[in-house]
Amino acid sequence: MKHLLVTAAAACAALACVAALVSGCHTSKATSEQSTVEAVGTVGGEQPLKGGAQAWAQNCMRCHNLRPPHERSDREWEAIVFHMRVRANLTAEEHRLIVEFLKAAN
Amino acid sequence: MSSGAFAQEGSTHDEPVTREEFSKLLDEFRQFKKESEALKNENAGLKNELAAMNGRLFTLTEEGLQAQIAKAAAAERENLLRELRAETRVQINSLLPGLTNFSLGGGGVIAYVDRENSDSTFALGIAPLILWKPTDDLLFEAEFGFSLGAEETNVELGLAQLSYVVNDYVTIGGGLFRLPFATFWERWHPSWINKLPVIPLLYERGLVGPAGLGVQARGGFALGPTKVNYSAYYINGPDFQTSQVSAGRLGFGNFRDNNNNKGFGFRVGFLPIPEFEVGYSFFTGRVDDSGGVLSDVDTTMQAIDFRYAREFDAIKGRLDLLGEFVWVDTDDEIFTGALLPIVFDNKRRGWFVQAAYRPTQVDFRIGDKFELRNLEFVARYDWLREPGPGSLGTDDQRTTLGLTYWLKPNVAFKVAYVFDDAHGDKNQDGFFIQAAFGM
Repeated sequence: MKHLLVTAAAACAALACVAALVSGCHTSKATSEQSTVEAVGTVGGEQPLKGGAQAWAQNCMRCHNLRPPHERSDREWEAIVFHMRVRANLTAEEHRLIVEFLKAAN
Repeated sequence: MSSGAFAQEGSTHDEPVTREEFSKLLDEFRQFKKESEALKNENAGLKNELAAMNGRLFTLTEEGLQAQIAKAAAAERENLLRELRAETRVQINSLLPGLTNFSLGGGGVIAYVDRENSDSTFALGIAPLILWKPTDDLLFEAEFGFSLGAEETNVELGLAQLSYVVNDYVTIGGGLFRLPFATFWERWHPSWINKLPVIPLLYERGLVGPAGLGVQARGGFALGPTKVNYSAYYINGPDFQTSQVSAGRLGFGNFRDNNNNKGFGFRVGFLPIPEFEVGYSFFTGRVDDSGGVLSDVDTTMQAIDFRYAREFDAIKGRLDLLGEFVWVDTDDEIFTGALLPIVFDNKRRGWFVQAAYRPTQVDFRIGDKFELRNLEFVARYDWLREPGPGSLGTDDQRTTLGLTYWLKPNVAFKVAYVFDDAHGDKNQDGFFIQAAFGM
């Protein structure tokens, strides 16, 4: 058990180091998907959460290609994005923004 | 000769002025005259400017009013159109049958496989996913797998779970769900998401199973400019393989618990920037049968996973990096059977890293069918170490190189070659072709 806890602590420390390293190397250069989005609100902290298009691009693109909004109806997007919230552990705000964006853009 | 015409200012008697005084007075007079002329000219100029300003003021006021009127009219038209659109949407939705949201998704694959030391074959599988959202807070999802076996059709229930949003930070659920251990099974195992036609070696060998039957709680929240997500679950857990071939491995195909102990696990993910996620997973549970000959065999699984995906102008495309490191420690046990009784250190290790590049910003076409920006170059390296009695232990490495052409964001044609290096077993180099689609 002690060995386990030490391993878990070491793993968390390694993760924290990697995360800090990546954060330090990151530049704020906007991507083509981000450049057309306007900020519409904040989610705690200092950095404002961009609009629905940016939330959609940032979160969905991390795992798969972006699906065009016109592929599905409003009702289907509500069910699909709920499913994605569970799978990808989206925040409540991201869920709301992405659904609103897809319904407005389809 | 002096002039008596001008008397010096302030003088009280008529005295003749000198020539110098007269000259001075004349100069002053001329200066005054000059300044007077200048003032007259300036006055005339000011009058002209004033007239012009009055004219412009009148013009601006009239144009300004007209522009304001036009702008207000456009804004009002826009608002009216927005309200009309929302109203129409509500009316259309009200005409749709039922009050619940249903969606059909999932995907399928058609493949050809040709590997050393085995017969080449075509293969087929489809996995429809049903989503049903009866309320804003409730979602039911079920996934089925249909594949063609040697002489039969295999049917399996991939997942069937109910999820309920308690609040912004907690979603609870129960049923058969994709195991929140690392990310492969939960997020990118579908064929239309996986960029290669083969799955990572450690999952192909079953080091960690795809699903668990039990309950879970999960969520995500912002932490300053970063984000944290979590998943915690309590499941029946895997069982313990004691056959000669699979000695010491965990079996994840049991849906009735084989003992009175449940398995507990969690995953924590951290996103310091939106493009990068790193996670740590942990699971522990008892795996041997209740009342069996084995004595309380416990297992502990841990994993670290990461993913980084971003577009870079410098390379005119998108880079996608991911990897998982998994280690499974199971208590040592004595295995019998065809082999002499033997105990081995039951520690299994596996990891892989994958890199993909897609030139999304390169505009090169061949005819109407091929665009270079839809071609993705993918490479994966797998490493797996599994102990076992005698020669059953394996130590495998695999390099997979592939090309994936995205006909659509959810439809891909994949070609890959696997360089297999299996120590203690036969190599299985192979050529894979796959057409994958997602609904």
